[in-house]
Amino acid sequence: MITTLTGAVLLGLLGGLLGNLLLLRRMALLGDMMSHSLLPGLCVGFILAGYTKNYFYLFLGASFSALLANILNEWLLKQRPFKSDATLAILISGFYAIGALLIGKLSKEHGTELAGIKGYLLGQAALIQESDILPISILLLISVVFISLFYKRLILSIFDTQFLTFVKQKPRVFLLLSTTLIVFALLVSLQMVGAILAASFLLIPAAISLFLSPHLHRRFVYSALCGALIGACGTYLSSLGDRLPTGPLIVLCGFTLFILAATLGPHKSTLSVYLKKRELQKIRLEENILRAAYFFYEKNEGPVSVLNLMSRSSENRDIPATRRALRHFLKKNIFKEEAPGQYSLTNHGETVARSILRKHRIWETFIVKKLGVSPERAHDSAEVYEHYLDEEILRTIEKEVPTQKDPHGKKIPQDEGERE
Amino acid sequence: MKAITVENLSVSYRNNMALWELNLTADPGQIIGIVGPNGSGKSTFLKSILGLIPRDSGSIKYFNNLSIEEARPKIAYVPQREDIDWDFPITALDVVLMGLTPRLGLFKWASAEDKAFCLECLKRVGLKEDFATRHIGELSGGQQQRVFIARALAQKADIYMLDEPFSAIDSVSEEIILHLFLELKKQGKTIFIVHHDLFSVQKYFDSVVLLNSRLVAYGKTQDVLTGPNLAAAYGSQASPLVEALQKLQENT
Repeated sequence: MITTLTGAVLLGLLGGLLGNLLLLRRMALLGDMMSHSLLPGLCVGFILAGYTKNYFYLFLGASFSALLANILNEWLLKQRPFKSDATLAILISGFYAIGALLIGKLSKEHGTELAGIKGYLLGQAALIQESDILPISILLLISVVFISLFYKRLILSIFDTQFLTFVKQKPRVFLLLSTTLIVFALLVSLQMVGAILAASFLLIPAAISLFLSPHLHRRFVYSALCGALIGACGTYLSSLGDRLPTGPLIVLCGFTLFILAATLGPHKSTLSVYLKKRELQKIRLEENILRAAYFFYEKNEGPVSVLNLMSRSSENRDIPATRRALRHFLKKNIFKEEAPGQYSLTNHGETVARSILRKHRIWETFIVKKLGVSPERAHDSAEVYEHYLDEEILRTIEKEVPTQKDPHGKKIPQDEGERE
Repeated sequence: MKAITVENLSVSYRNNMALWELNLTADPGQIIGIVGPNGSGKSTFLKSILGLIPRDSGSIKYFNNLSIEEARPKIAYVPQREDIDWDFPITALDVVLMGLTPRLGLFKWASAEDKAFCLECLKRVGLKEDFATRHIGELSGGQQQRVFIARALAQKADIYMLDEPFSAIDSVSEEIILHLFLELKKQGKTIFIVHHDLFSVQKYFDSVVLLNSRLVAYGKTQDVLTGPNLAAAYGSQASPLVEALQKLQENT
């Protein structure tokens, strides 16, 4: 059990790490094709070794058939009518069919010797022995060293191969080395996850990491950790039942985590996009309230009600949200409650509100004077854009249209910096 | 000195001739447009004189007697938009830093000085410091184009080759890029630009290479843009074009 789990964690780290390269190079389907193409090669290796499980022959056969598959793919792509989605789909099923038939035939005739090979179809973690741990560790070590040593050059080679070729940096060497590592990673993953799912085993952790961080170097770390996690979970689950295939369980764990990350992850997931939108709406609401408050403050109207504060903005129709925002403002010492339900700006609040109004009025002035928009329509536009203007844009506009008054004849508050 | 000398250049794809026996020389210090209808071999011409695709025949010399190999450190190439993966997680500054790859070795990371230089390159294309850390996917089409031009600037080249830099960009970007090209021209640099919009040819280029698999015409822009030349390059599509261009010339 310890051996199995160690193997699963190491393989997960390896797969997660290299999966990123698969994803960046847009080789997801190609990876799937390569893993399927290993199957017939393994069978041929088994036959060549005299119907025994000899690693040397197995690796030889598998590498040869992966190479053959790649050559076939290149050749098919040269025939005009194909794009790579079609060639890959055909090759995946073709190689799988050959592999499945060979395994079927061999298991009838050499059932007992083949026991180890059968696991290559769907994966059988229980078959991982202590002798398997060493090659996996070495491959992991090589991958970590390769990626960290050549990180910059590797990433740039993937991003713009043509450019680096042009400046004589031999990007194809790095691409070829990374492909070789990927093929070997697929090969050592076969025992645990099987040929059909090996590519997803590499790909899914990398895909999960897309929703965890925008930064590539962090994605490499997250994805390796995710790989280890799902490898361990899948292996543990498969040990619970009687000879449950490990591959599907591992991929199922990964798939579940992937769906979770796509929904709830901190970067570009459905939830994080929604929260960002909510945050923006909240800011707009708060700024609308502040602008309304300053409007009444300018007219010396004294404390005002919640409804007053909503009245100056056409987009604010949400009473509970306005109350929430006011409670927040009270805490932040922007508003004070003069009497129950009656609010007025504090000195601090006055400064904050003035800057919003400044944006509103400068924008109005700009589009009326420069773009020829009518003063009546300018207000609606300013209600939208006041939330997006930063100081730099404001100063540029002020230089373009120097003025003290907005189109409605109201005074434009000065920039706080200038007043001091 | 000639910036480039092309002799007898022919290129084919899968038994189709893309370029036939091109001959031309170009003086340094000018902006040269490579113009022609779709499929006339404009990009092919650029890529073949850069040595990015194999030629069937022909010799290419830079600066009188340098081969492509020898001249590479002095040439900067900006690819077509379609050649770039815009979803790739890379920042604008990292793209510009790529321009230093020939100078930095295999393992060396950029120093603070290098970074400052690249930020300066970004500034020259009108992108301030806060753009440097943005991912290229977050920029507008024109800004993306400018990032790649900044990378070319970082290469400190003498010849700039750009494939369709003006396609799908906003007018501000166009203005900035054009201004920069004029500045480079003043410094004696030579700029080759693949371009498909005939109507802006006069505005941009000193000389024009008019292609239609063969070299239809080459020379000063006003000498090349004539009715017969355009008819030879564009065939039956030409007549409305010629009329429109003539009107444009009368107006300006």
